[in-house]
Amino acid sequence: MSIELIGWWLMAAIAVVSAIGMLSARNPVHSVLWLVVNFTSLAVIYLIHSAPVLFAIQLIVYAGAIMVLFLFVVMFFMSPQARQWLRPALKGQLVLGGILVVAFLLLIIWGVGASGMGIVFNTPLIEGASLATDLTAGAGMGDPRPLGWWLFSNHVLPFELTSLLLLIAMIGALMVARDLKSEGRAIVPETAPVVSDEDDEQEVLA
Amino acid sequence: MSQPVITLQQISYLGPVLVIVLTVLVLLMTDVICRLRPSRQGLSLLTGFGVALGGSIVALVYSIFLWHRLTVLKVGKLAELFPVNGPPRSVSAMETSPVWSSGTLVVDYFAVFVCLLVCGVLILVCFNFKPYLRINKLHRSELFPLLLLSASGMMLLSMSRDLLSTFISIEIVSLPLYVLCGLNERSRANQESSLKYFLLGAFGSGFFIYGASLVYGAVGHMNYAAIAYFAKHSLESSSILMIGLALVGAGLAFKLALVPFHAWVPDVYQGAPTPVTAFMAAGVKLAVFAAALRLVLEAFPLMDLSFWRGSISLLAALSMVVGNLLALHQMSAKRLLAYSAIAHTGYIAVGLASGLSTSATSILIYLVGYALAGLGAFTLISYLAPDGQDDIYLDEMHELSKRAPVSALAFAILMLSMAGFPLTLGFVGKLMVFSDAWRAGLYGLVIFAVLNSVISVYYYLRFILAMYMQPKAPGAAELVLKRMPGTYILTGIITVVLTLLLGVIPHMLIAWAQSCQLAGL
Repeated sequence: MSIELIGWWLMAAIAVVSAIGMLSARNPVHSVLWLVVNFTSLAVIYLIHSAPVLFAIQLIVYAGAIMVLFLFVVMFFMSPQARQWLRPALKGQLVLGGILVVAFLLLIIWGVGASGMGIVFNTPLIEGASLATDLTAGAGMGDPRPLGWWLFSNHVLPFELTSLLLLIAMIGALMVARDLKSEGRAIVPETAPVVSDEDDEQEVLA
Repeated sequence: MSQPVITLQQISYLGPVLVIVLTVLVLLMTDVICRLRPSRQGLSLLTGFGVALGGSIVALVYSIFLWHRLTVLKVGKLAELFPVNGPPRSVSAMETSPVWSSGTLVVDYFAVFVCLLVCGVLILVCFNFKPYLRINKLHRSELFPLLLLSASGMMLLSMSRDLLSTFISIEIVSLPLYVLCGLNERSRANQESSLKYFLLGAFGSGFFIYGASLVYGAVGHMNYAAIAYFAKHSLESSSILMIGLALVGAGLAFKLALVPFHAWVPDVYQGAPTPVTAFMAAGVKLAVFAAALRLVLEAFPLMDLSFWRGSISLLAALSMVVGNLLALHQMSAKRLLAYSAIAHTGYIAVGLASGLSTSATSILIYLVGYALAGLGAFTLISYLAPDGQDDIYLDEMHELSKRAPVSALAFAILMLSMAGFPLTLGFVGKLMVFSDAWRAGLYGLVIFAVLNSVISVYYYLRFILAMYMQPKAPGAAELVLKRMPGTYILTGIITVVLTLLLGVIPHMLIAWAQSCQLAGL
């Protein structure tokens, strides 16, 4: 059994367990944290399948951006009693956290510098024609460069249309989340805030 | 593989879409300028309406111009935009010369015809919105940009020949509608409709995109030409491709509201603001059927016939019977039209199942008839609806023929067109769709569909009988009739006159629609 296969089974097991954990957790924050574990193990599975771009996107978009948004929303709607346990349990936790954040940032800066990213940026882009033959032969899939090639050649239209979609999301979010009070109109109390708030949340996440 | 070249001339063929998107940008700016002072809020609505209407008319004229060019140049299509080609990876990795090539977007008769219709629907819906906003005291001029963006997605949908761009176009169509359904933040029905539509719509999109990824896995491409080529040349039938296409079909069925993917329709149609419901019934149905037609007629014909024809026939039969049976006892006009929309989707799917090259023609004519009847009926509903109710019920409509004879007559004509009575456009559409299916050999399905349209006559006639023959029940609420706003009158006249005119002399419409053939069987 190769190391990849062992890793794959391990990650698959973690993914399933964390998915069950997410569904069964009573505390919404725990649920979200289980989901982080799930997303991360999924990202590693992508890496094992030699899809580094997907791995990076999974980590940055899902485990990073979307999960932070989820956490914000969950914490925003929690009752004050449920928020009790969020207070730091250890003394000096915040200070320690701050130090760790700075240390991590330094680590990233050092890592980027040491990896010689500057050299990569300066190499000329691969020639379209030779890349295309590589692609038809099925080579280089999952590499960022063919992905960029596809995105700006065959799939340039969907790529551009996505900008239209983002514009819609922006106008829509503004429309849904608009502050009525600032426009001098009272909100009729029958409109239960729960309904509209849920709606806002969904639209923002969209 | 050659570098894709996009010339300015090719881009100009996307004119209707570009005009609409430009109008949106102008609208966003004028809206900001008009809102600088709170006292100008009324003005912002008026300018929003004016600019949106102007943009839609320019887009309509542009579409007519494109149609004219097509007929002058005597070509089947003006352009294949964003061309792609190649051998599908899974078929043969050794192949070097491209064996298929196709544009991601294609501007042909079919696409231009759908663009024309979308512009028409858009104009009528703008007409509807103007009095609706005033009467319901909604100061939401942001709705016009959203409405127009949704329409631009509909146009792209009719041109799209690629699962990915189809998916994004569907999202461009639906995302504004989720917001528009919740237009009135004081109305719980609006909020409920918006949330339900959003959640189920997202669910449907999930089906679609998962299916598209499976298709990509099997074929190595998402272009319809590639799928068709793969289906023809691969020796063994690929189950992954079949599952993928079935999921894509389920995603489309969600948007079309075919049974069993119809559960959202009644609540969303009833809860949404009436002009938005009209836009959904007329526009979304048109656009998503255009996408479904392209997929079925361009990618499916070479595939196992029993696979796609069987499943579409099953969905069609289910939709007709469930939609009609549930519509039988509805008291609310909007809910009735929602269930009847499900049934109509079923009838149209009968045409889709036949999959002939003429199916596109028949279905487009059916959709024109349905869009006209739907737009007119919803306009009359929003006119007749009591303040704050945004719907009318059967018991409120008794003796309407005496109090509002013209409205009652118009409503009756539109209902008859929906039921498919001769001398209305609804009849022409039904006749063409069913005769297509008959020629394709789907005898059982056609008989079933005709029986179903007989059932449907019952509930349409129920409303007509209530207006004309039944006395008012004692104690029943009476509609307060106001003066009809000018744009409602205009919409009513346009829809009723066109329904009758094209129903009596449909030759011109049929001749136009006959140019819109897609590949098919």
